[in-house]
Amino acid sequence: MEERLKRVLASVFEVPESSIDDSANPDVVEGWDSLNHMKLVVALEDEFGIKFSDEEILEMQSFKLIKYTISQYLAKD
Amino acid sequence: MIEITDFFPMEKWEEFCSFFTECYRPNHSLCDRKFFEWQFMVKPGDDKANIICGWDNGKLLGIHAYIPLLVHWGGFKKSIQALWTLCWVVRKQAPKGLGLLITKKIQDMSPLILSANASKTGVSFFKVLGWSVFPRIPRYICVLNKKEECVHMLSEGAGEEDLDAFIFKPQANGSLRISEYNLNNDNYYPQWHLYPGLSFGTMRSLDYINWRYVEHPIFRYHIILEGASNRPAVCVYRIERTSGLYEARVGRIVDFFFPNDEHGHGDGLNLMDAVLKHMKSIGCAYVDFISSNKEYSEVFVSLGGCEESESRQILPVRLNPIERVLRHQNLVVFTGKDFSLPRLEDMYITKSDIDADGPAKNPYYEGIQKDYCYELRS
Repeated sequence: MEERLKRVLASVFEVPESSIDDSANPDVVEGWDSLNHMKLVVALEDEFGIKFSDEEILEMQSFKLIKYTISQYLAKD
Repeated sequence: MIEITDFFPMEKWEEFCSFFTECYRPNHSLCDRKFFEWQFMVKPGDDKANIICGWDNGKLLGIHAYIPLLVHWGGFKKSIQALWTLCWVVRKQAPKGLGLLITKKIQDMSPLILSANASKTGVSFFKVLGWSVFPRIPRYICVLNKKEECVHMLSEGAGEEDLDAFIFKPQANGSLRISEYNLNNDNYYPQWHLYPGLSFGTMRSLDYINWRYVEHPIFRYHIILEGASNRPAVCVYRIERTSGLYEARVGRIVDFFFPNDEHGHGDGLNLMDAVLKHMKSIGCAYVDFISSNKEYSEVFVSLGGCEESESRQILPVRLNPIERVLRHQNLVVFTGKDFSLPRLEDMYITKSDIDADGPAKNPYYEGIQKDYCYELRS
């Protein structure tokens, strides 16, 4: 899951996958702006076949939090 | 804790002004309460405006406004309540994703949503959400007073000879005199099936005309009709006085339609001829007409008007103050299931559609009305 997640983030933010780790957040990843955040949410919903809640969309402000949120969905399956 | 509300409570008016001043500018027309209440359809005693809001402990962080309007979409058997949206903006410090959330709320409210004049950033956001984007609605120009007026407003690099393709050619036998109407149910009840050109667009009903034009708190619109009450040709325009680079009058046609038959076409032609003659007689430099629909714009073209180039605007769009920049009116459309997306030319979208024809500034702010840049409602 983590590799798929990194691939999506790298694609949306147009950065190398290797630059995405648990410390990635809008302050350190160039290109993680509002527009790309929206692209990210849409891309993640497509990639993992899930629909984030309002709270989750607002909480997903770092790679670590996104990973946690998606892992919760995958654990339910 | 972020809270999303599907309306804006008017008791928070000061918060809205602060928000808008920060996100746009202090003299924005929507910071005029009368204009705001009209634009967002605040009903007396209700005190709620049609705006999805994102809040953090009482602080407004983001908004996306919507106007519920009846539209026809593919026929006239029934009308649908669609939403026109405007003012999608979030504060810089808002959490990422808030803009998405408030727009998702709007998408949940209607299967048919339209927006005109989205910013470049807004268009990017709409594209991510899968909305269809039409980058340019054609703009037609007709030059009424070439040398005296238009030459002073030409874009950089344009010359007087560029105006030659746009010169008004009045009908030799046109004798219609324009007179304005106070519309009511007795003198305005169009049979919409006679107007196939309006089969995809906001219904120009009496209620709509009254709200959009008669009750507009700032602009004074002129509503001119020709033909029988059940099948009128209709033209709505306003006169704008420019400021900045040069002072002149410019006609803005914001609605023009007629029944799609020989009689209707004749009424439309006579009506447009009379309107253009009137504008010329009061000294308008030129008139513009933004319209997606070919049938109606062809009448304008037959009187000398011409579609401007996509890549080069020789006469300005924004007039207060005059801006010499390339600017197109776009359209974005969200269609849910069961709603088709027609070609642009099959829709009826004009400059009048929602905030595409709005005042750039609040004319009652900072004494702008002294410059009489708009023909203001008295």
